[in-house]
Amino acid sequence: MNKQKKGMLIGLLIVTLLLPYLIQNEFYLHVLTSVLVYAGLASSWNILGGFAGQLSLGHTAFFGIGAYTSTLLYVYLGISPWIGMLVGGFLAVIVSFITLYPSFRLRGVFFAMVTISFGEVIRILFVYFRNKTTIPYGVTINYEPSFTNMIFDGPMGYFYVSFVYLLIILVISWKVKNSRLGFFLNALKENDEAAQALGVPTSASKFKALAISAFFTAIGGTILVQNILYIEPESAFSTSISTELALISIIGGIGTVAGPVIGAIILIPLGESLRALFSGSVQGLHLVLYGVLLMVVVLKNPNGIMGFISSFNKKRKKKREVQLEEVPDVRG
Amino acid sequence: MLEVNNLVKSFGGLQVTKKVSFEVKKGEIFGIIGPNGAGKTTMFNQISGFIKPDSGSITFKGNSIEKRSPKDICKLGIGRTFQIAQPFPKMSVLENVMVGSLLRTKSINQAREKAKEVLDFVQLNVPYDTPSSNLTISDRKRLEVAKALATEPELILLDEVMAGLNQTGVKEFINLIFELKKRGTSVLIIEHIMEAMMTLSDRILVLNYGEEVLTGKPQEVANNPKVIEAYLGDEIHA
Repeated sequence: MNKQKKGMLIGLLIVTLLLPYLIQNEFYLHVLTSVLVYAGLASSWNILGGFAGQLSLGHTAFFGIGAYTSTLLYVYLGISPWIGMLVGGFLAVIVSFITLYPSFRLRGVFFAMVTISFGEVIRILFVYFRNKTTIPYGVTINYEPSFTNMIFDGPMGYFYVSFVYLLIILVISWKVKNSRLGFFLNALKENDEAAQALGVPTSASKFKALAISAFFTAIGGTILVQNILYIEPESAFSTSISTELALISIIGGIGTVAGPVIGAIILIPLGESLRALFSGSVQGLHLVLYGVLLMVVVLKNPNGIMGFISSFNKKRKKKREVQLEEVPDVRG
Repeated sequence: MLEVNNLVKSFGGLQVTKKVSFEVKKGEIFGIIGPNGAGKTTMFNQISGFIKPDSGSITFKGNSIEKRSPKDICKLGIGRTFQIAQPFPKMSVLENVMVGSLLRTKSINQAREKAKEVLDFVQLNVPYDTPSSNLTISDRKRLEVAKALATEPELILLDEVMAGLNQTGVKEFINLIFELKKRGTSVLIIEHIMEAMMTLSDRILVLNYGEEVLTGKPQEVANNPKVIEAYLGDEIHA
C-alpha cells in the first residue's frame, strides 16, 4: 500500500469516528450504524463468497445462530453478550463444518442451491425444537444499559461497537487477501485442477475461509440483535438476510476488500429510507430496488462498483503514461 | 527416482494403460512417445495423482504414490504441466507463478522473489504484471513450465510443451530443458516433435494402445521396425 492510500484511509477512519458528533439526528445515526454492521456482515460473507468463490445463500443460518446464542445465554443464564457472542461464533463454525464442508465439491449455482436449503433447514429445525421448550416465540432482551450487557443508552454506543466490528473484519479481509491463503483461494476459484497440480490444499483453504466467514457473520448477528433487543426465528433466520449480504457484496465489488463496504454505503441507506417512507406498508420494496440495481451494475460491469473504480484508475494511469511519453516529442 | 510397475488403467471397457513399467533415474531426461491415443497423458495423470490406477504401483523416492492426492505428490517433488496450458486467467503472470512458489514458503515476499527468478529462467520476457490471459501460445507454455518449476520439483512432467511453437521456440525450449537437467532436475517428457525428442531424451519409452512397444536409447527407438509400424502401420496393410 502506498503512502497516498494510507493517508486517505487514516483520514477516512478519523472522519468516520467523528461522524456521531457531527450527526445529531438519531435516525441518521441509526442508519449509519446499520451501514457499519451490514458492511461487516457482507465483508464476512465476501471471504467465502468472494475470495473463495463459493457463493453462499445460507449465511442467515450463521447470523441466526450468533444472534440466538448470545441472546438466550444472556436472558436465561445472565452471561454477558460479549462472551455469548464468541460462543455463538464458535457454534457457527462447528455447524458450518458439519453442513457446508461436505458440499465444497459443488461449485457455482449448485453450491448456492445447497446453501439455500441449509439456511431453511436450520430455521425449520430451530422452530421445531423451540416448540419443545419453554422459550417463547419472540424473545425480548430487557433494557438495562451497561457495557457488560452490550446495551447502550443512546445510538453512540452501538455506533462504536459496530465500527470496531467492521474494522476488525476489514483488517482480517485485507490480511487474508494478501496472504498465502488469499493466493490459494484465488487460484482454486480460477482453476482448481491447475491449483491442485501446484500443491494447493483445496479443502483446508476453503474451510479456513468458511470458518472465518461463519464466525464473523455470527458475531454480526449478536451486534444487530443487541441493537434491536428483540429476536424471533422468522427474522433471525430469514432468507432475505442471506440475499442481502450477497447483493451488497456483488453490487459493491465481489472478491475485493472495499467492495462490501461500498455496497453497504449505497444499499443500506436506500433500504432504510424506503422502509421509513412506506413504513412497512409495502414489504420487501427495498429488495425489488436492490434487484434492479444489481441488474444495472452486473450488465455494466460484472465486477461491481469496485470494477468501475479500478477500470477508471487504469484509464487515468494510461493517460498519464501517454502524456509522459509525449513530452520528449514536444521538445524535439 | 521414479519407478512405475505393471500399471493398469481402464476407462469402462477400454484399457488405456496395459501393464506398463519403466524407471526414471535421477538427472535423466526420459521421453514418452506414441501415436495419438496411446495413453501418454493418462500415464502423466496417474503419476501426478489426478487419475488413480486400477492396479500396479508408482514409487517416487521410495514412497508409494499411486494412491496419493495431486497436492501431496506435488509436495513430494513432482511438478507437472498440462497439455493445454492452464493459467489462472485473472491473475498476472507473476501471481500465477507465486501460487506455485507459495508451496515452499509462507512469506509473500519470498514467494514473489522466487517467482521472478523462475520467470527469468524460463525467459518469459513480458512485464510481471501482464494478465496471463493476454499471453501468446508460446508464452503460455513458458508460464506453464514456470508455475511447475516454482514448486521446486525434483522431477518435472512436461506434457507437449513444444506443441504449436515455431522452430526458434522449439530450440529455445530444448535449451531450457537441458538447463534444467544441468541443475539436477529429472525430466519426464511427452512430445510429438521427434527432432526434439531425439536430441533431448536419454531414453525413450514408446507406447501404443496403452502397451509398451519398447524402451531404449533414441537411436534404438528410431531404427526399430516395431516403432515405425506403430506410427505408420503395418506394411502389408499399407
